[in-house]
Amino acid sequence: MRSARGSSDRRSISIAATVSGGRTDWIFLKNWPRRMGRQTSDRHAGVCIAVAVLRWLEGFNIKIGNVVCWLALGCALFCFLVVILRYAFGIGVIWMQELYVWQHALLFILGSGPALTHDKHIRVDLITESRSDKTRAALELLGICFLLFPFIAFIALTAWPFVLTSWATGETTGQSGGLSGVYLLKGSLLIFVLLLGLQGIVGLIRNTLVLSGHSNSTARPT
Amino acid sequence: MAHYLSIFLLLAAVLVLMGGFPVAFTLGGVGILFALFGAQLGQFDLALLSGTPSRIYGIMINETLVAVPLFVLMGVILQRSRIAEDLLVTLGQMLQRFPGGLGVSVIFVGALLAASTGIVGATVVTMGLLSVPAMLRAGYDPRLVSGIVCSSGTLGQIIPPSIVLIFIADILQSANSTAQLSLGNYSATPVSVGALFMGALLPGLLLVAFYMITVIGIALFRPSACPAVPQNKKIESSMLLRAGYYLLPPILLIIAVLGSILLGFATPTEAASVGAIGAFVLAFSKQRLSVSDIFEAVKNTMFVSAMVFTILIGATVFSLVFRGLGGEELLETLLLSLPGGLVGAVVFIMALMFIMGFFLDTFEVVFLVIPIAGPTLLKLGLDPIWFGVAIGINLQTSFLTPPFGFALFYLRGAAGTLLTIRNIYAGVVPFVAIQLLVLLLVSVAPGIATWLPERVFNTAPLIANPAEEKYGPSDDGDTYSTY
Amino acid sequence: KPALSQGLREWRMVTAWPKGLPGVGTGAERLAERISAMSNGKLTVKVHAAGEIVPALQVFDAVSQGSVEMGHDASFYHLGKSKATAFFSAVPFGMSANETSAWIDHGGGQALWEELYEPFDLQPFAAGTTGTQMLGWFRHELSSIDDLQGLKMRMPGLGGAVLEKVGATVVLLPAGEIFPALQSGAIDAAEFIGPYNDIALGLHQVAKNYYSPGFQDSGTALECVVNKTQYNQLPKDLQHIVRVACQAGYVDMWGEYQNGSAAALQVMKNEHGVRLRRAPREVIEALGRATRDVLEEERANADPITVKIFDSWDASLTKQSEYTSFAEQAYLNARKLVQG
Ligand code: NA
Ligand code: NA
Repeated sequence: MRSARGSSDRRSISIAATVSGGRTDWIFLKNWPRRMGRQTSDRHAGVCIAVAVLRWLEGFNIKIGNVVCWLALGCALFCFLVVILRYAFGIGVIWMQELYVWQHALLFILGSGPALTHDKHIRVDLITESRSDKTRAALELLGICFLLFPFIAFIALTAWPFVLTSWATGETTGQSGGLSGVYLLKGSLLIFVLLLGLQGIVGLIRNTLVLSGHSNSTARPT
Repeated sequence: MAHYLSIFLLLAAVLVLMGGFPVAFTLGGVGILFALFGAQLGQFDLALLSGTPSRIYGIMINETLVAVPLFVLMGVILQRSRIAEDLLVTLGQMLQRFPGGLGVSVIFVGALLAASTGIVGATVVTMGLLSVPAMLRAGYDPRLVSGIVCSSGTLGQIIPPSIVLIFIADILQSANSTAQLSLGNYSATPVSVGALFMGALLPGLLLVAFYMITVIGIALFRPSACPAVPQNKKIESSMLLRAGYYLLPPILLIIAVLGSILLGFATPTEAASVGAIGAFVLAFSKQRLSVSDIFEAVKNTMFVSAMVFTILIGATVFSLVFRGLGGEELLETLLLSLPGGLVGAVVFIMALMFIMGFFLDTFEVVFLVIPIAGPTLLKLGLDPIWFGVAIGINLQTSFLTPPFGFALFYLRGAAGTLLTIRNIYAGVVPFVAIQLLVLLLVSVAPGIATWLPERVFNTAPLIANPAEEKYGPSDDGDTYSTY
Repeated sequence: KPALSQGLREWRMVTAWPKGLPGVGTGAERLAERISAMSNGKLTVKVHAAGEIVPALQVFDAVSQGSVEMGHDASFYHLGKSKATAFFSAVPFGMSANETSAWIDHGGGQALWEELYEPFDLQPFAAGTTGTQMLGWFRHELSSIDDLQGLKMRMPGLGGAVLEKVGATVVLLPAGEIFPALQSGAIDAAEFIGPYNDIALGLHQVAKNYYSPGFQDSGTALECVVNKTQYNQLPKDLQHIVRVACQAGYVDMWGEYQNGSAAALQVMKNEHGVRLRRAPREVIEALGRATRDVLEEERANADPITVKIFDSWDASLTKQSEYTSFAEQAYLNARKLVQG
């Protein structure tokens, strides 16, 4: 089990470090032939594109995560409000009871992709932690192709009709006075898949770079 | 033959998990690959898998599980503001004269927290956040730290109120009524949640006592593993003041959370929100919380929730495939063809649940095994309350046991780089031994589990006022009938 | 599948019930056994408890999407899909069990139900009923309308909306959590089903006042839904077997509830000291007024199909209640008079 601050990641220094963050990456991408072409081979230029795409995709998940995480606070506040209203004022508000449940649901459904970006999903790396970076990158590639992608592809395939039916009928909660956008909540399953899929692509790029000897370019966000 | 694919599924999961890919996606991915493979062989109906979004949605709208992020948020805030550390260290200093004082106070706080929630993920993570930095700073052996946190963090399953026990009671109730009906007993004593809570109380407290004794024992024989918390003279002179300042507010908060559950102001989820908001108030009042602290806290909360619930999502796919491959029928055949004898059957089923607890979520284990095994065992005369309590301790142990116990994953997630997986694996071993010892004790002396519920619930019927019995005082005859 | 070429079909039935839950669960299991037996094994149905394949409240979606062929639950679990689903299980101060079967089987209800479920590719059948339920368990006596103010009660669906109107605080709780919530006082009262099931939850251990009548569940019907595509592919004889087995299931479960609850009520009263009480007249009247308001609001905001169903149901109820009052209710009152 290894977390984001794994040793190999912290040690490495990105060649793209000077252009950190998704915004500048685009400029970087536009200018790469002029900036990089002179001193580097075509191969190196390819690496630069790969790194830029990687940074941009990763930046996207990070930004989503930075917004979604506030749902944790919202969940606590609304749940607390429900408690106060019920026990101090004898008022029960059904939509508010549902709202904090929804905030909790969205917190982990939308937070799962960003958590993968920060490598917060738990691993059993008892055996692999002592292996070389390249071995681990190869295992990681296998995992992304044969575990992560089949898993999310399958959730996407099954969630699609599930979400569509709900959208088509404009499904609401069964509780009178409850929230009406159940179809939106169900629809979040597709975003769950999307965010994990993007991070899967990031993993593909990063570990291919590591395997091809460009591990310096692949520092993870901390 | 078909059903053996489900066994291969379990074996494959063990192997692939060792590859170091995230647990959540390993469980889900291996499940999908086996489903496709099984479908090729004509052994798996892929249509079954279209139930997956419904299962995930069921996790999403489960109100009880909201307690997880709320308790985690409370833990992160208390940790970041160092209130938790102050509390534990002060407690440890007060218990200075006792060896292992800080460790004992962590177990004490863990037991309090355990009583207030039944959710392993939430308690282990909260305890990890609260106490790991404090104990390490005090010079504790990381292995002992891991053992203390994992074991006291899983206590929530067995010390009531516990969500796992609620589900066990629910299913045992049905199993018991099936068994009693087949024996011709029409009005069987119900296996209520309350009775099971009562039954689990003494074994839970016994576990707490044994944990504490273990820490004290280690302190006596290997003092370097849990050194006394250093304190300077100045602090000592104002100990009472310090205690008032550092001890009282967080203890009041914990009592407020616990009290609101036990005394009936709120459900565990609601109480968790009181805890989270209370932690904010405490931290603000000590001026130890900046906006960036809050941002880091909610981010950590999101990461932990995503980690816990993505594992649940992976596990739900995995267990659906396990069923679809005939794992359920295989279990059924196994359980129904058990070698005779109640004791042998119980030992076998306990071992089975223990192993299943490595791969499946507690609820899945409970759903899979009790409905099939329960009626048969209860018909043989097994006490349902004892059975429920034993299952509770057993699953708790499973959660603690290397290499796959979920509690170990959760602690690793919470502790980050502070603890290595080797620390955690080595550290829980003595505590797993204690669990097994208590399970053995409860088996040899079943009264530990059954005495209290019998005292509380099976007393003479409470016929109140016989005059009321007919239809009660509010019965006004046929006032609203229209004859 | 080789089995299919021999004309053998294996179906799955997901249910909203824990395995072996007396009444609803056992009724669903007998329904499956009967379909298997009546078809001489040409259609065997395997029952899955709640949570095995999908959670309790997701039965509708699972069958609708063809994950499984059949499901057994209550129509009003799906108020979120359409408010009209309420009419096919229970509406506050609505129909009793025999009135419901009169409307569905002979009063035009079935056709409307099929129309309502058409977009979901579902073929619905009434396949069970709990009979009249209880108002629920109360920690403290309910002696006047004032006791409803701020009363924290677990009551799902439209019944909850009515309670809210009279000043109570409605709490959403799954069945398994009723006990601890009632025990700790997190809630003051809770409704579940009736004596047959309630005794199993052990609610009498934590609240001693058992109130009747269950205005919210006057005769709650359970449904068996079949994936319509799958149903249409069945040969005529098997279609008929499924239909008739469901009809039999309705009466069969009703009898089980009547028999089981009658026995359980005796045990509660004589062995556990439960106080059997009836809601005071003014409470019933207040709930009745609130129900009228709630139903009027619902109808005002309803879509055309819901209005159509509402009106059919309402007309049937109006017609039937006068007859029921003149016949069955008069008889029951008469019997009570004689028995003393
Ligand atoms: Na607990
Ligand atoms: Na009910």
